[in-house]
Amino acid sequence: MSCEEFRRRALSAEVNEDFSDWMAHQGACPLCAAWERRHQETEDVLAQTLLIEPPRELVARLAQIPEMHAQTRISPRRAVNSGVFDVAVLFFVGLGLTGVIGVVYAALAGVTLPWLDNTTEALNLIMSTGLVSYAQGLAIIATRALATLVLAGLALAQLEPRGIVMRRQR
Amino acid sequence: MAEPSSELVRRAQGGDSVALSQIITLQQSYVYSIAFSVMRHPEDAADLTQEAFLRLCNVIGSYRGETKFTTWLYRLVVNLGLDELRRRGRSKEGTLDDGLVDPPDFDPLVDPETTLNRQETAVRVRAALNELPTAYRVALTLYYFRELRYDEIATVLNLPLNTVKAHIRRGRIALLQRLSTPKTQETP
Repeated sequence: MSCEEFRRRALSAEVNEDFSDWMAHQGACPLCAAWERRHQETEDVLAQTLLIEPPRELVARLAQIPEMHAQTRISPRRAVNSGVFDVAVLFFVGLGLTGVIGVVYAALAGVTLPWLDNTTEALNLIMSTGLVSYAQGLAIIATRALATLVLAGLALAQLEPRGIVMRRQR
Repeated sequence: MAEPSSELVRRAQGGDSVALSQIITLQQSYVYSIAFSVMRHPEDAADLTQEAFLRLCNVIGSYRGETKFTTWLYRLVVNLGLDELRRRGRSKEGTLDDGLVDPPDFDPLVDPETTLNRQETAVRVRAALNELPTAYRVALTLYYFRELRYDEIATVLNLPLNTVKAHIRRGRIALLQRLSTPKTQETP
């Protein structure tokens, strides 16, 4: 083995490779043996240099993470209870709104219903029936989408960890 | 490198904040070192380290033990870092396998430098590392932890084994050449 080959292999060697000829050259060539000693010292310096201790301020921030995570973590039971509570709130809010709307509707029925009848009749005369039913369908879809968004927002508000974001502001 | 015990990981998965805290303490130097090698800036590395541990708390339940825990964790860190680089538009740095060129041919005259004091050497090593492509830098960082096998480094970097071996070999040669001084009198 030449000295160049010895040094090449020193830089690309794998643990499970056969080192017998490489070791033989190291034993026979004092220059390469000295080179390898310096190489190993450099390797040690590299290993020590590449493992960097995090700054103290970061260590302090990291130390807070488990506790904050524990506080924001939702236990399965709490999640179920929370979900039941949300549904109940939504139900009663819906019930209340229906009642209020009903009262308002009843109060205005004498005025509103004839006006609505006239308007619908006029619309049917002016526009095609298909267009009116399309508009009705669109309104129903929009209402459902809005309700879905509200429910999804409530669900996300339960899942999102609060207070754990403490990144440095740029 | 302290590989957390499976019991410690299991407790952390169950929401034990003490276990999570122990894992963070065990791994913070390694995670910060990887983050530093990806981001090349102390404050960015600190942010990435924190982001990685926050993410770890949220996804540790999905760790199934197919690889070593540290391999899984380091992959999380590397992916978060590369995503951040891509998000910032540093797409060339945000990849580990494109655009790499061979370092100059290995020169057997170069000699590892050992005469500098440790502090000075550390500064030189970091400066030399920062000149290397991200792929070499991250691969070398993982390699010099001296606890990961080549196949584990390949798993962390999501690269083929031979690519990782090439990255490490080329990275070591490039780094050595930057840290070396010719000493012709010892030329064989």
